[in-house]
Amino acid sequence: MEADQTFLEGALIYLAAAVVAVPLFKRLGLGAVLGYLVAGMAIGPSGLGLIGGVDATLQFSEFGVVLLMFLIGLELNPAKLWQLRKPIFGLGSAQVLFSVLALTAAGLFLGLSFVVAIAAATALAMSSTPIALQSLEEKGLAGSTVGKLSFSTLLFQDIAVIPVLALVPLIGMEASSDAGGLLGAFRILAVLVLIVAGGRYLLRPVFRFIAATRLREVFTAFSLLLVIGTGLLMQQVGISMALGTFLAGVLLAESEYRHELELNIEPFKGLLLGLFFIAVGMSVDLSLLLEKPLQIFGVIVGLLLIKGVILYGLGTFAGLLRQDRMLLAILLAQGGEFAFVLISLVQTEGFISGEFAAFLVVVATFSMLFTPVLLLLNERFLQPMAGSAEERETDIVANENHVIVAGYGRFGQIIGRLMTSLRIPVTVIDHDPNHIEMLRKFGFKVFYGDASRLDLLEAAGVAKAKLLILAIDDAQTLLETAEMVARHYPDVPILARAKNRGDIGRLLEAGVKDARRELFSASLEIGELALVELGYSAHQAFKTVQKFRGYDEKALVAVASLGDDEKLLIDYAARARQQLEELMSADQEELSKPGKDW
Amino acid sequence: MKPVVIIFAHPSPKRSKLNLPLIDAAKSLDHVAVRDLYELYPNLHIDTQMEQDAARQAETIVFQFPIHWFSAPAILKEWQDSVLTSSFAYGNGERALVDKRFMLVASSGGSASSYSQKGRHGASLASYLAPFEQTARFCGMKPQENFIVQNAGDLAQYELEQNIQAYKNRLMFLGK
Repeated sequence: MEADQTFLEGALIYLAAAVVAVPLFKRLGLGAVLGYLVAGMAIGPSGLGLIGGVDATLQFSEFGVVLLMFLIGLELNPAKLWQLRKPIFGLGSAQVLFSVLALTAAGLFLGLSFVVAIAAATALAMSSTPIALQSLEEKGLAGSTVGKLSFSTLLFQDIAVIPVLALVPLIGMEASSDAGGLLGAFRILAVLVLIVAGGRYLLRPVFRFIAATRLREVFTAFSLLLVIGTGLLMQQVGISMALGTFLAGVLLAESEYRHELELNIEPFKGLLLGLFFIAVGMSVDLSLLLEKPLQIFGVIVGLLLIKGVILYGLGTFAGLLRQDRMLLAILLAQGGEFAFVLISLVQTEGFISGEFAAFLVVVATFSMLFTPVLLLLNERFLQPMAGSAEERETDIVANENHVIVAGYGRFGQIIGRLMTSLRIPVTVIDHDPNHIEMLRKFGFKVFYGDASRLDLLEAAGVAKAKLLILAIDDAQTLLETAEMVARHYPDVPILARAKNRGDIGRLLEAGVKDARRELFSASLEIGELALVELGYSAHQAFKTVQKFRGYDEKALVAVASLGDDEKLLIDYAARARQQLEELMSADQEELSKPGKDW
Repeated sequence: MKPVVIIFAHPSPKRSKLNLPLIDAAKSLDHVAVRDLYELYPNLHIDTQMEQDAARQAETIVFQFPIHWFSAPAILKEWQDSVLTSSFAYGNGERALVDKRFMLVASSGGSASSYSQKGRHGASLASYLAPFEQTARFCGMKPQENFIVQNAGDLAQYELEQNIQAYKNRLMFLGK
C-alpha cells in the first residue's frame, strides 16, 4: 500500500478494476453490483492491496447514494410521494420495528447486554439503499410493485435514522448541545420553504442565465452545486444528506428543468455508486473473516434469515405474489451503509467496544455481498419453481386453439382487446404483477413470468396455439423468443412487434411470419393528418400516405435481402431515398395539375 | 334537420372546374346538407350508422358526382353497398327511404354528342345512369329529373355561372 498514491493513479486502478470486472460479471449473468464489489475486494487491502484510503473513498463515494436519492426524488413529485405514504409508514415502520425487536432478541440470546444488543440491532435493521435500488434497476423492476415497496421501506429507514442519530448522543455519556425540539423543527421547515421558493422563483432565471452562456459544463457544474448545496444545508439542520437531497429532488420534481438536472447528474451518480460498491468491497476485512469464519458466517445467515422472514411476511401482508415476496425479502435483508454510520456512532459514544464494532462492520459488509448472489440464485432456481407453483395455485389450464399475446403493455393490450372483442380465446403472458392481477379480474387467462422462457410458453399452451403474437418491449428478448419458438414449434405462426427497420429483417430471418414497426403506422397517421393540414383533401392525403407506405415496405424487403454489408446498405439507402422522392413528387405533380377535371 | 341531403363523391374536388363551385353553392343553402364522402371517409370505410341516420331524416337524397368510367367514383358504390342494407332500405326491414325524392347530379367530361348512339360512347348518359335510378326505385324512392352537365371540363365562364344558378334553383325548388 502506497500512502503517496496520486489521485490519478488511484483513479486508474478504480476505473480499470471496474472496466474489467463489471462487464465480465454482467456477461456471466452475475450483475454489475457484484462485479463492483468483487473488483473492490480484489484491489483492496485484503486483496492485492493496490490501493489505500478505504475510509476516505467510502465517505467520498457515499455521495453517490446522495445523488441516487436526489434522482429518485426528481422522479417523484409530491403527489406521487403522497400516494406512497401507506407503504412508507406502514410497511417501512413495520420492517424497522419488527427487525429491531427480532434482532435485539437474537442478540440477547447470543449473550449480548441489552444496550449492546439494541444498538447492534438498530444498525443492522437498516438495509442498503444503493444495493437494493441498483439491483432493481438492473432487473428493470424499479417501477414495479416490489420496486415501489422496496423503495418505500428504504425511505422510511432514512427517516427513522434521523431520530436514532439524534437519540444516541443523548443517551450516551455526554448529552449533545444540539438545540433540538421546536427550534430544530423550525429550522427544517425553513430550509424546506427555502428550497421550494428557490426552486420556483430562483432556479429558472439562474438556469436561463447559465443556458445563455451555451457552456454545457457550467450547466453540469451548477446541477452538482445545487445537489451538494442542498445536501449540506439539510445536513446542517439535522437531516441526513441522502434524505435531504431526496426531499429536495421531490420539491424540484415539478420544475421545468427537471430533465436537465437528471441528464447532468445521472453519469455522476452511476460512477459514484460504482465507486461506492468498490469501496464496500475494499473495506471487507478478510483477515477478520479468516479468524472467525463460522461466527461471522453464522451471524450473517441469522441476520438475513431474520430480516428476510420478516420482509416475506410483510410482503404477504402487502398482497405480493409469492415470487415478489421472495424478491422483497432478498432485496432488503442485508445490512446497509447506515450500519457503518450507526456503528461508528455507538462506538464513539461508548456503547460497544471497538472490536465488536469491527465485527459488526464485517457482518454488514458481507451481508451486502450476499444480496446479488442470493438474487442470482433466486432467479436461477427458486423463481422457475415458484412460477410453476403459482400457475397451479390459480388453476390455469392452458387454452387450445388460442392466440398467445406475449407482453401485455400498451402494445399487446390493443391486440388483446381486438381479439377478445371477437371472442377469440387469448392467453396473455406478462411479467408485471400489476397487469396480471388486473387481467385475471377481467377473466383473462394470464401467465406470470418471462415470455422468453420456453417452459413458461409451453405451460401457456404454445404447442396448441393458433398464433403467437410477440409484443414484448425489449427487442433483444423478443428476437431470442422468436428464434426459440420457431426452432421448437415451427408450425406456430409468429407475428412480432419490431422497433425499427433492422429488427424486421432479423425477425423474418428468425422465422417470424410477419413483423411491423411499432411506431410506423401511428407516425404515418400523423403524417396523413399533417398533409390534410397542409391543404390536401382527406382522401388524397390517405392515398399519398398509402403510396409512401407501399414504397417504404418494398424498400424494407429489398434492404433485408442485402444482409449486413454496411457499404451496400448506405448506397442502397441513398439510392432508395432519391427514388422515393422522384416517385412521390411525380405522383404529386400529376395530382396537383390544375384540372381538366370536372 | 335539413330536408335535402347531397351525397357528394369526388376524389379530387380541388381540381374540379364544375363540381367545386356547384357543391359550394349547395353548401351556402340553409336547407341543404352536404356529405362529402371522400372527406368523411378518406380510406373508403363508411360509417353505416351515421349515413343511414343522415338518409333517414332527409326528404330528398341527391347523388352528386363526376362521371368516371361511365359510372360514379368508387366511393359512391361503396356507399350504396354498405348503407342500403336489407334491414334499412329494402326487403322486410325498415324501408326507411320509401317516398323520399331522389335526384342525380352528374357531370361528364365528354360532350352530349359523344354520348349518343352514333357517338364515341355509344349510348346516352341517361342510359349509363339507369342503375342509380333503379337502385332508388328499388328502395321506394321517387326519382326526379336529373341535373346533367356535359362537356364539363371545358365550360366557358358564363356557362359555368348559368349552371351554378340553375343548380341553386333546383335545390331551392326541392326544399319547398
